[in-house]
Amino acid sequence: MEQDLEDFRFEVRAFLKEKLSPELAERARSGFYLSKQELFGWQQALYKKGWIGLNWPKEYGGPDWSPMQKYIFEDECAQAGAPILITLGLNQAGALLINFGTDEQKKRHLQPILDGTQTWCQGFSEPGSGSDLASLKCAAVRDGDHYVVNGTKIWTTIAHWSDWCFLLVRTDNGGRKQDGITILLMDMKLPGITVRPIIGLDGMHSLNQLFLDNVRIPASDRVGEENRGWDLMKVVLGTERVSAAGIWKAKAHFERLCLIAKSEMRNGRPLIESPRFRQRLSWLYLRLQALEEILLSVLADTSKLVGIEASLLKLRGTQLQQELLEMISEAAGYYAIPLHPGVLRDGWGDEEPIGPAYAAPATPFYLFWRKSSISGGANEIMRNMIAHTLLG
Amino acid sequence: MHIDLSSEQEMLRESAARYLRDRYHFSERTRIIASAEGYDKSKWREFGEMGWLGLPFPEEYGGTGGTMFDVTLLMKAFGRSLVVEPFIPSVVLGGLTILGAGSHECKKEFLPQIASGHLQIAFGFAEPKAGYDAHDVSTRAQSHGNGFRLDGRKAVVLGAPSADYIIVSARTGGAQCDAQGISLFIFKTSTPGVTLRSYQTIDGRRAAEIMMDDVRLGHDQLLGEAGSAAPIIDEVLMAGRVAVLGEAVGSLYGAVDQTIEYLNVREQFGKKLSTYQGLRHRVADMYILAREADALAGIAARAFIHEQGAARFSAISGAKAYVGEEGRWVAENAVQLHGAIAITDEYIVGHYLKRIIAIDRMFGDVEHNLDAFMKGVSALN
Repeated sequence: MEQDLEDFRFEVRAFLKEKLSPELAERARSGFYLSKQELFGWQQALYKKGWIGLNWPKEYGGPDWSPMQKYIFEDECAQAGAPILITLGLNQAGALLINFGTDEQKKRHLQPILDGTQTWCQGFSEPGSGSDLASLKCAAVRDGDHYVVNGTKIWTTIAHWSDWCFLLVRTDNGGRKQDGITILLMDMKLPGITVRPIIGLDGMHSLNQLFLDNVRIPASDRVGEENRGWDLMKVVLGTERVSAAGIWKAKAHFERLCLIAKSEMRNGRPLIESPRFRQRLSWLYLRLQALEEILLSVLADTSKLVGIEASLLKLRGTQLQQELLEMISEAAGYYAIPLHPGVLRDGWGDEEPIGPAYAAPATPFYLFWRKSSISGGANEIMRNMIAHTLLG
Repeated sequence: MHIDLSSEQEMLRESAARYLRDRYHFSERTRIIASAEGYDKSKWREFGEMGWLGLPFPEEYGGTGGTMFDVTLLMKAFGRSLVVEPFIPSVVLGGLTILGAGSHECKKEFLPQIASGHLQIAFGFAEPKAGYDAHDVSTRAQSHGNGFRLDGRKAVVLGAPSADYIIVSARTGGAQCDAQGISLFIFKTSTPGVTLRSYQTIDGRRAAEIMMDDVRLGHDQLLGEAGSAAPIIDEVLMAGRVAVLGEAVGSLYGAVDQTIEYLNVREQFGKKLSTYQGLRHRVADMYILAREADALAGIAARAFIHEQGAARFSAISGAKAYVGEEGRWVAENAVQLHGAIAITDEYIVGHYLKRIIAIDRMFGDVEHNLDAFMKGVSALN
C-alpha cells in the first residue's frame, strides 16, 4: 500500500517533469499572471493524461483516485509549481451538475468542463449580499419556457473569460430567505448581460460586476427544483473549503520563502538568520505541519468534509497562506514597493529584471490573496460555523 | 501520515476515560491533593493492575510493551482529568532511565515493581543554576574506596517526596557542561547524606530539592557505564516531552469543553453567554489551537518511534514549543471566558491553566524548545 503510493508519487513527478515547462512553473510559482491560453494548455495536458476532475466519479471521467492519491497529486503539483487551474467549472459547476443536473445538462456541459473548452464563472455575491449570501435579490420571473432575470452580481472572478455562469437567483420572496433561491445556468452570450471589470488591489483585472437586464434564460437551464437551490449549494461548498485552504500551496510557498530568505541579506547576514524572521518562519512551519496532519485525517474520513475540520482548514489555511505571502513581500525589502503591471502579465522578456526575480509579483500577489480569507465564506463565517458545532 | 488506532489502543483510551470519569472526579482530585501523601495509594495500585504503570516497558520486565504513542493516549486521559499521581516521574523518567541504562538484573529488580505500583522512582537531572541544560551538571561523584562519594544538589525533582529510590546525574569527569563525563546513580531516599526539602507544586503535585552531602554509594549503584549517561538522559527527556505533550492536549480539550459547558449555562444581560459572537469566536479559536496542538503532539509521538536524528528531535521540540505558546493562550482564555469563578481554587478551569504552565516549564520551555527546533529544520538552515 505504502509502496503503491510511493510509486504513484514518482509517476506524478515524472509526468510533471515531462509536461510542465520550467519557465511556466517559475512564472506560476512566483505569482506572475498566467493567460487564459497558458491555463487552458495546462488543463489540456492534464486532461489528456486523465488526471482532471479529481473529485468526479469515474463514469464522468474522473481518475478514480483514493483520497491519499489526490493528496499526493496536489502536493506534487504545488511543489513543481504547476499552474493553479480555475476550479469554478471543475469543482463547483461540476459537482453541482453531477449531483443534480439533468441528463441533458450533463451531456451538454460535463465533457467541455473537463477538457477546458468551456469556462465557468460563479454568480453568487451581490453588492448587498456578501457573507449573508442568502439575502440575494437578483430576481428571476417565469415567463413561459423562460426565466427573465434582472439584477446584478459582483466579485465575479473571470466572468470576462467565461462561456457560462451558474447563477443564484431569487424566485420567491414569501418565506424564509433561503427557501426562495433557484440555480440557473446562464449562457454568457445571451443578450442583456454587461460585464464591468473591477480592478483589484494588485492593479489587475480578474474580478467583475455583472449587470443582468431582462436576460431570458431557458427554464431547461435550471438545476434542481425551483426555490430549492440553497440546499443544493450546501453540498458544493464543503469541498470548496478544503481546496480553498490551499495547504499544498502553502507548503510550496514556505519552501520558496526559505530559499528567498537565504538569498536576501540584512545587516551583513542572510535574512533567514534574523531572529524575529526566523521565529516567525518556525511558527508558520509548525502550523503548516499541524494543518497537513488535520487535512490527512479529513482525507482519510471524508465525512469530515462537512464538519468542523473543513471550516478549520479553510480558516487556518488561508491565514497561513496570507502570512507566507506577506513575508515573501517583506523579504523583497525596497523592491516590494515598485509596481510593473505589464510585467505581471508578460514577464520581463528581454529586459533586465528590476530587483530580484521574485520581487515584481511579490506584493501584488500578497495583495491579490487578501481575498482568500474573504471569499468562499469569510473567516468570520468559518468561526461562526465552528462555534455553531461546539456551542449549538 | 494519518494512522487509525488499533483495537488495543482504542481499548486503552476507552478504559482510561471510563475509569477516570467514574473514579477521578474533580472533587476527588481536590481531596487527594490535600492528603498527606499528595497522591492516592490505592488508585496508584489500580493504575498498576490496569497495566498503565508498565505501559512503556517490555513484557519481560513486567510491562505491557506499549509505545510512546500509547503513552500519549493514556496521558490525554490523565490531562483531561488532571491526574496528579506521579506517572511522569516514576514511569516515564525513572522507569525509562532504568530501561535505558540499567543492567538486565537491575531492570529485573526495579521495572516489575514500578509497573505493579509497589515502588516509585524519581529522577533528578536538573540543577539550580543549569536552566534546561541537562548536560550542565555540577553534582560531583568521586571515586571513593570501592564506590563513589556524591556531593551536590538537584533541583525540583518531580515526585521525589513519594519516591522509594532516586536516580541522579552526577559528574565523574569532564568540564561543567560537557556531555562526556556524566554518570547516573541510584539510591534510596533514606541513604545517609541525602536530604529532601519537599514542597508542593503549583499544579497540585509534589517535588523536592535533593541535597547530597558526602553520600557514599557502592559501585553497584552506578547505573550504566561511568561517564556516558548524556545520550540516555537526552532520550528520557525526549520521552518526557512526548508524554507531557499528550497530557497537555488532554488538558486543553478539557479546558475548551469546560468553557463550552459554562457559556451554555451562564447568563448575563438577560442572555446566555453562548449567544455573544465575541465569545463564540474566541471559543472557535481556542478549539482550533487545541486541535493543532493535538495534531503536532501526534506527529511528535510518531517521530519519537519512527524518526531519527534531527527530524525526530525537531518534531518533538517544535511540538513542545507550539503547545507551550498556543496552549497557554487557550488555557488563559478558558479562565477569561469563565470570569471570576475561574480564578478561585475550587473551580477546575484554573487548574488546567496551572498544569499547562507547569508542563511548559519542564523539559524545556517555549524559548528552549524553539531554539532546538530551529536548529533541526533543514529548510531553515
